[in-house]
Amino acid sequence: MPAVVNKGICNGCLGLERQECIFNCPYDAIVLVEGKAVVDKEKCDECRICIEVCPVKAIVLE
Amino acid sequence: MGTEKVFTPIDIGSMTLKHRVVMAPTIHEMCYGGHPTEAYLAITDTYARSGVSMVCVGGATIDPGPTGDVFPNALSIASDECIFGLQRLAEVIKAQEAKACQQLYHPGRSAARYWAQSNPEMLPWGASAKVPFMAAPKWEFTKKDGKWQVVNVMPPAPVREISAEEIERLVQMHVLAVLRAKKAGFDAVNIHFANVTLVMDFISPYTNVRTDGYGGSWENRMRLPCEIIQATRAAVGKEYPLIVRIAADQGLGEAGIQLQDTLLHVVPRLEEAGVDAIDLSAGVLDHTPNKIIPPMYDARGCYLIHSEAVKKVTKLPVIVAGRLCDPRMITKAVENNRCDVAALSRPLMADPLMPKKMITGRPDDVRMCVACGYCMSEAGWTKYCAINAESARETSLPKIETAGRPRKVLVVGGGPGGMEAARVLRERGHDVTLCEKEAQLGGALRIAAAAPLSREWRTFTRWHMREIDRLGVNVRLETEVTKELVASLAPDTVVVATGSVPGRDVPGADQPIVVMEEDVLLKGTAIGKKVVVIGGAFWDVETAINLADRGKDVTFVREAASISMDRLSPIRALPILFGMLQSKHVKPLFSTKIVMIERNGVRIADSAGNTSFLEADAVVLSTGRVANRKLIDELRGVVADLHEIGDCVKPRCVADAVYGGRLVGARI
Repeated sequence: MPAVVNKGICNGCLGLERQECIFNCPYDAIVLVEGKAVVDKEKCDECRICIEVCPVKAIVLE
Repeated sequence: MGTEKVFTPIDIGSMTLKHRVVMAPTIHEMCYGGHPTEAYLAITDTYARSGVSMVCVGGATIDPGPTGDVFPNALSIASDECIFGLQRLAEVIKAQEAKACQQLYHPGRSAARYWAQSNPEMLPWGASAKVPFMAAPKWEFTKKDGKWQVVNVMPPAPVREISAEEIERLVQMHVLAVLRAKKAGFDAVNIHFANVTLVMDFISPYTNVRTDGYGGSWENRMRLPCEIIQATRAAVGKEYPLIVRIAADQGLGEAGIQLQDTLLHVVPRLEEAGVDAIDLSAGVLDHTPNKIIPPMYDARGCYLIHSEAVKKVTKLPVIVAGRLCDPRMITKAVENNRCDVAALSRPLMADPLMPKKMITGRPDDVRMCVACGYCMSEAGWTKYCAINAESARETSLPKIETAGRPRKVLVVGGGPGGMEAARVLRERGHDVTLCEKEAQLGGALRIAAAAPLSREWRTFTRWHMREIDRLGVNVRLETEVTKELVASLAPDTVVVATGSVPGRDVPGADQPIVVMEEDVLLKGTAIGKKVVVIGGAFWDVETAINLADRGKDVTFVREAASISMDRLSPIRALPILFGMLQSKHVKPLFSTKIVMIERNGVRIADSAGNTSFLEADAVVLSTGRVANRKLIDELRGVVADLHEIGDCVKPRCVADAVYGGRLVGARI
């Protein structure tokens, strides 16, 4: 049950200085693809820090 | 040592910590008459050897009277006679070149826990008499006005508002305690203004409705903590490091202290009063224990959100605790400036070598705390750990030493007990074969880890598998052990850890609509829309929540008025589970007897004996487990050196399986 980003909600932290999920992921499991965060399921350890820090609550555990 | 910021020194006042991973203050019920026992000195030694830069000895009460007593077997710093024991603690810590810190506090309302209320002189101290203490709550479900509610059936313990003179005494108690800590050799003190303390009750609008100079405005409510800091500072000198622990958010919403208040009103005043560092906790002992000790429902590092915000309003070092079990997360959080110092409590019990493993770049070797709450179980706050049987047993458990005569050992069953036995036996040099009938290791923990709310258990199985692989245990999967296989392998010793199977002790359990809980979780067995969950334990409530999450229309039926919490504790308290049930629209039916499961539903009877019928597409059954004793019965009298551990002895919790494995592993 890795973290998964709802692409409809994620805005890539547009206008903010950084993408909070990417900045905080201890496993470097998140990258930005076409302006949206994408989680690498293999790297994700389900720590849920991305869910905590996402300003628009776009992330859940699958 | 790595070059990341977490491994760089930091100053707390005049004290320099060699790096930024410390032991968080943690109350241990391992004292006698307020003095540390040998066992407490031993566990403190374990923490000191863990590689942390500072060990903070948990809450010592500063009040020698009944109003200061909250945990009967916890530490005291309330009189000069306590200094002798405190010196031993400081010495044990400093011998390992860690800084020694002593936490101290006045328990206020919490002292209600063990004292009779018949004598008004003995009534616990409160900021106001308004909020009594929920001493030893016993939660039950009752139906009121047609709605299920969860109520505490134990009477709350009254408190009394302390007078102006008593406030002066309270300030003095803090000052004297700090002086004693200094005299005992502690490098610093952590003054506790959070969770269980009288001072927090003064700060919080929830508990303080005083009309004198200590109540009302934020300035007035912060008067007491500031007076304590100023008086302490005056007595102990400019150099002595004073750390203050506060609850950044009490978890009471607008009624209590919220993060915004902490940022605006609490931290700036404490900084001005002269503290050297801010240590962040959260929650109130009787109302929100799950905020003090976050359960596995919460994210790892769930309070970094607080420390990040606090760091923006103060120049003081900010220390934070709260599920910091993940080495990579700690490194990242410090690097990203979300906290200055990471404080570990439960993670050190789960793996007392975690800091050393971080320093030597081995984060994957860490046995991560899963936040199960066993360390605060009904057995008391002794700090036994479900996944590390050695915690708090430093003086009793046999050490893992090389075996005098290596033997050929067969371990049957790859659950937590079997894996623990195999790990320890192999570590000691025995030739170990571990057989598991399923295609994967994990045993009953696989069921737990398949439930979304308790996924963290998988990290423990993962650690065990890693260790077993590293040590060279011969693992055979999909191997059901029989008497014949044992004969052909010809081991010297057999350890049976065959676990348990689900019980079916309900009339109509053989109906086709019945599905076992473990099949739903593990195999994803398809079930219809309308589901009845028949269960008894807190994890069955979690299953009901999980099914509701999957879009099912769920009814939870339980014969008793409450839920069996096993030995897992306040942090998974019923109000929290009940709140989750409600938010997911699960329909609870407590005090409800199962008359019979039928072809298309369940016939039930309420406490008055009135029967009704619940239509269902599926009935998910979890009514306890039965020991799987088939192999042990077959091998008795055949194998000379035969041992049994875990659920196959009697179905219990994971801690018993791990302890059994650790013990048998060290004795063979």
